[in-house]
This record gives sequence, structure tokens and C-alpha cells, in this order.
Amino acid sequence: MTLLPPPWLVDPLPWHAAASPLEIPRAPIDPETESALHLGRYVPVFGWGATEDEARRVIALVARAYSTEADPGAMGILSAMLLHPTLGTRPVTWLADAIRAGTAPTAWGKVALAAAGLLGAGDSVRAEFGEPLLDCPALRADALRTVAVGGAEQYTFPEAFARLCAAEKEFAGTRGAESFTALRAWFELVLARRWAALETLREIRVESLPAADAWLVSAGLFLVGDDGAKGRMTEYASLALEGLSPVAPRVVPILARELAELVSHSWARRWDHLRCAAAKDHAAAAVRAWLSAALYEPHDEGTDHDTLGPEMTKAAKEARALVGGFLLDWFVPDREARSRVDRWAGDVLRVYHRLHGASMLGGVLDEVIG
Amino acid sequence: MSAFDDAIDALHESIAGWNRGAVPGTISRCAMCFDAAAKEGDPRAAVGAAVARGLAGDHEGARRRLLEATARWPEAAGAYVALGMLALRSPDVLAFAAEASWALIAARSLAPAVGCIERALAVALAAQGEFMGALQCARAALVIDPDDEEARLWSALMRLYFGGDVTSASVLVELPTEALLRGRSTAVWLGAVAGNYARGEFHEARVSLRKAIGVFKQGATPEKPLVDSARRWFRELRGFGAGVPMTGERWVYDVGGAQSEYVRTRAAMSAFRDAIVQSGGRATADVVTVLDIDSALGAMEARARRGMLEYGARLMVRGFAEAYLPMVACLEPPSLELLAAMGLVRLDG
Repeated sequence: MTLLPPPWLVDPLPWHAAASPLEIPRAPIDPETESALHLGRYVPVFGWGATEDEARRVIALVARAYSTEADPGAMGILSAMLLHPTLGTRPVTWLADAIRAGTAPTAWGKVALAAAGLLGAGDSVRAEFGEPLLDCPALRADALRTVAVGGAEQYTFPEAFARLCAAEKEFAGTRGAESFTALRAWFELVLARRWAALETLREIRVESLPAADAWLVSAGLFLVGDDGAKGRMTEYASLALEGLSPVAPRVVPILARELAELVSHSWARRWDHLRCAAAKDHAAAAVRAWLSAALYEPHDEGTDHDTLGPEMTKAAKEARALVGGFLLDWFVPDREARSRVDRWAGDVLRVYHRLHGASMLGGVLDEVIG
Repeated sequence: MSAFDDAIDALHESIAGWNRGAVPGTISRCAMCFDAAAKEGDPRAAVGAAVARGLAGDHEGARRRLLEATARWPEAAGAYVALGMLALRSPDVLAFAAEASWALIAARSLAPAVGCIERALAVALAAQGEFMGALQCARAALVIDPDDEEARLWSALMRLYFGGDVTSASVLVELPTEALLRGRSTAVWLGAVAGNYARGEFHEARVSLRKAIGVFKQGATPEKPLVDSARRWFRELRGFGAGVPMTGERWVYDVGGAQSEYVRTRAAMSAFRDAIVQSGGRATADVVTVLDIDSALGAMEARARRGMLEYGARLMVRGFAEAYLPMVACLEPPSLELLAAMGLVRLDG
């Protein structure tokens, strides 16, 4: 495949004057490597252009992070290589352009997205990194997961939820629709404490979902105390990690440790979730029901006056504005319980991205490294 | 006779001939006489000039003059009373309720223990949504004058919707007959609508509504907003439901039905409680006890009840103020007590 070199590969190179920029850091990470990463003396993911070598280098990066020699903090440090201080998202935008133009295979995009999930990048880095790939139709669903499933860092869960709702509508009628319904319902149940979403999660045919999405559904059901949810979480996690063990030997023990953390103190987590549900403004919901009953039920006052329009009194409009807050369900006043549930949700989503990344990378490994 | 005395005579004449507003010619003469008296530096005349304009329909001009009067004579209660009174007679009463409240609080500080000021303050605070303060003022007005039917009306309304006390519905139902004998307008029937509805007397509630709006011509443009406002409030009252909220079978309806978040959260908590009872040892390790759950259930119910009363009062009492006060302003002149509190009476000595 003939590819044009990216425009930033001219003198001076953007690797901040390093004679030999860091391409794949050593493990365990030494102070020199850490300092090079801080100073931008590294080649970011797909920094040499949208090439096969670059796709392989990304896989090597992930393998190094999960190698038996890697130190525990390696992943966090290596996630810096997704973006570059000078180039920003230009390398991944270049890759997205190449995929759209047909000069690069979709698998390379999957490799890039998988790296973002597996390296445990934070919400903002992951969103920034995944955004250019949203324009590639073949990668849109995975890129949407990378960008929209998050919110623990800045407490932007409601915004993530709104994006997932839009994605659910966008994918309606396609194979991916059920996945986005599951993701949306998970946010609604765990973070907005709406019980209707629990029914949605129970009705979803989990076996038809990708392993990471099925794992997330099981995690939601685990929170509300469903029998067997813990076992299903382990099962779907193993399924997601299946193809990755040969290149990332430590992925299973790391994920197993994180999973064990998530499922410990199950009663306390369930209790926190219930406390949040109880702390919601139920009176506000009742007032919304009264106003709907007033406006939409037939009404005979026994006079000959014209039929009234749907307009409410000013007092009712103001009362509705007071109770109509969409955010009431998310920002419940029991802060202690809420922050614990939010933290748990953040941890779940971090594992979700690892699993999603693992299953994506496992699926394209053969295609990229043969 | 001084210009001020002429003005007072004209004011009382225009009020005596009140027919959905002051008598136009007389109220204009009254305003001019007050203007002449105000040139001599009489603060009562400045207030009177503003009140005359307000009663003639120039609310903005009246308000401006009264704000000037309060700045010039901050120690005179009359201007504050007038400001509060005119704010409560404005077409958009909820928008001016806060201004009416502060003006009447200032008036009360300058002239304490005046029944009509306490009563007007109760109305202003209720329209603003400050129900506890409003209830206290209505009670203060009733201590001064136990026969004050307006204070009784507002006190009963707040007890019903803010306090959840259904016994006050009887007061609302019985009040109009008594008030009409004292020369009040048919607007007082609107209070009976709330009373009838709370007692589950749906037919009587409709009859009371018809009596309240019956004096207005059907389809008449200037009066249509008054009629529609009362009808809208009645429609919202119906949504709120008959009887005392949050009692017996009504509770599930009030919290939004069997599929509501409240009911389902309660069910989830009960299931969790059962699970803890069945395996207490594991639960104790996570520091969750049956007592914690019982206490959370109790707190949830108490918070929902309190919140529903608060929101219900905001809807019902403020909605009532929105419908009732413009009707009263149209059908009734300001009371002589209020005019006296503004100093707009002639002292014959």
C-alpha cells in the first residue's frame, strides 16, 4: 500500500529535538524514559504515518505495557504516547483520513482505539483520541464507545449519557443498536437510578452483544444484586481477553485483580446505590405526574366557556421548572453514597474500556502481525 | 377646604362608585387634587397621587412615584403600604409579589400591629411562595381582628395545602356566605372551590367556580384573562386530586403510581432488607443493617411527603393568588382600612 508521508515529518521533526525519539519504551520504565515522555521526546501512536509498521509498533507498545517486566504504573505513563504535545490529534486524524480514503485498512483504526482502552487513558484523552475516528463509518460504533462511555473524571456522566442516547437513535435498526441500548440503560440504572432501565438490561439478549458490552450489562445487574451476575462478569471478561494473552501475558492477572476489587463489598455497593435512589426527589416526580394529569386528562367544569388551551398558570409553570430538572436524578443530595457509586462506576468503565480494547485487538491481531 | 381634602373626597367618591374600576372622571380629578396638595410638600398627597394613578390603571407610573416617595420620606409607612397594595393589584401579581412583600414588611416595621398590613403581607408572602411566613402573618392578622375573612381565607388555604390539614376545607367552604354578607365580591367563591375539592365535593366545586366567574361576561376581552386564569387554576387543582394528599389509598397515586420510582425504590429496598435478614453475617461485614434500611425508608417517605406539600403549595396557593387577586382587584376597591393605613382619610377631629 503506497501512502503519502504525513506533513509533520520534515525538519525540524516535532519530537522536540531528540536525536533518537522514544518509540517503544523499555520496561520497567526508567527515569530517562519518564522524562522523555514528559518532554515530548517520543513518537506518538501513528506518529510516523498511517503505516503497517506503525500499527505493529502500537501493538508492541501495548505488549510492553502488559509484559511480565512492566511495572504497575507503566500503563498510565505509556498512555501519554496516544497524543503528542505539538501534534495533538494530527496523527490519528491522518490515520482516519487514510482509512476513509481506503489507503489504510480499518484494522489499524481498531488497533489505535484498542490501545486507548488498554492503556487505561483517562476520559478526556480517550475522547480526544477517538474523536477523529468517528468519521470513519466502519469504526464509528467503536469510536463512539471510546468517546462517549465515560464521565468519571470530571463528573460528566449526564453528558456521556446524552451522547449514548443519540448513538442509540443513530444505530436504531442496525446490529449495533442493542449494544447502545445496553450502554444507555447501564448509565440510566447505575448513575441516574431509574428502575425502568433495569428491565431494559434484563430484557437484552446478552449473548448477542460483544463480550465487553455483555460484561457491562452483567456489572449493572451485579450492582442491584442479581443472582449469577458475578459469574457472568468473569465469563464475559475471559471471553473478551481470549485472543490477547499471547502478546500481553499480564493482561489476565491485572484484569482479574481489578475485577476482584469491583465485586468486593457487594452489599455496601448495592446499599449505596439504593441510598442514592432513595435520596432522589420523588416529590418532584409526583408533581410532574399531577401536572400531566391536569393538562392531558379530559376536564369538564360545567361552564359554557371555550375549551382552555394547554397553557398552564404561571405558578404551575414555575413549579414545573423547579421540579423538571433532568439532572435531579444524577445529582442526588446524599453525596457520600453518590460519590462511592460514582467511583465504582468509574472503575467499572475503566475495566470496560480495557475489555473492549482487548477484544478489538484480539480480533485484528492476526491481520496486523500475521 | 384644602386641595388634600378635595382629593380625599374625590377618592372616596370614585371608590363608592366602583364598577370593575374606579369612576374614570372622578379618579382623574382626585389625582389632580393630590398633585396640587403634593406641591405643598404633604407626603400623604404624594402617596394619594400615586394611588389614584394606580387605581386608574397606570401601575408603572404609580410604582415610580411611590418609590420616589419612599426615598424622600423613608419614615412614612403610607408609601410602603401603597406600594404593597398596588403590587398585589397588578395584573401580573406573581411578578410583583416579592416587591409587595418587602414594602409591606417595611410598613409593618414602621406601623406594627395593624391588621390590614399583616393581612396584606400574608397575601404577598403566599404569592411569593413563603408559606410559613404567610401563615404567621395571617394568624397575626386574625389575632388583631378574628373576623377578618380575608386573613381566614389565606390561613385556611395554607393550612390545607402547605400543612395538609383537611379540617380547614370547611372554613373555605363556609367563608363565602359570610363574606358576601359583609359586602365582598363573588371572587371569594374561588376559595370555596379549593375547599369543596379537598372534601371530594366535585359538583359543588364546579358550582363554586361558576359562582366565582359568573359575574364576568363570556368572551368579553378585558375579562377573559381573569376567567381563564381561574379555570386554569381549577384544572391544575384537579390534577392535584381530591381529598387530603398522601393519605390512605391516595398515597400511591400521589407518588406517581405503582410503576413510579418511589414505589420501585421502596420495593428494591425491601428486597435488600429481606436478603440481609436471610444472611445477616455477610451484611454485617459490609456495615449495612436492617435498621439502616428502615431508617432510609422512613427518611425517604418523610422527604417525599414534605416535598409534595411544598410543591403542592407552590402550585395551588400561588396559582390561587394568580387567579384570585386580579379578580378581587377588578371587582373590589381597596379597603378603607388600607386607605387609612396610607393616611388617605380625612380626619374630621
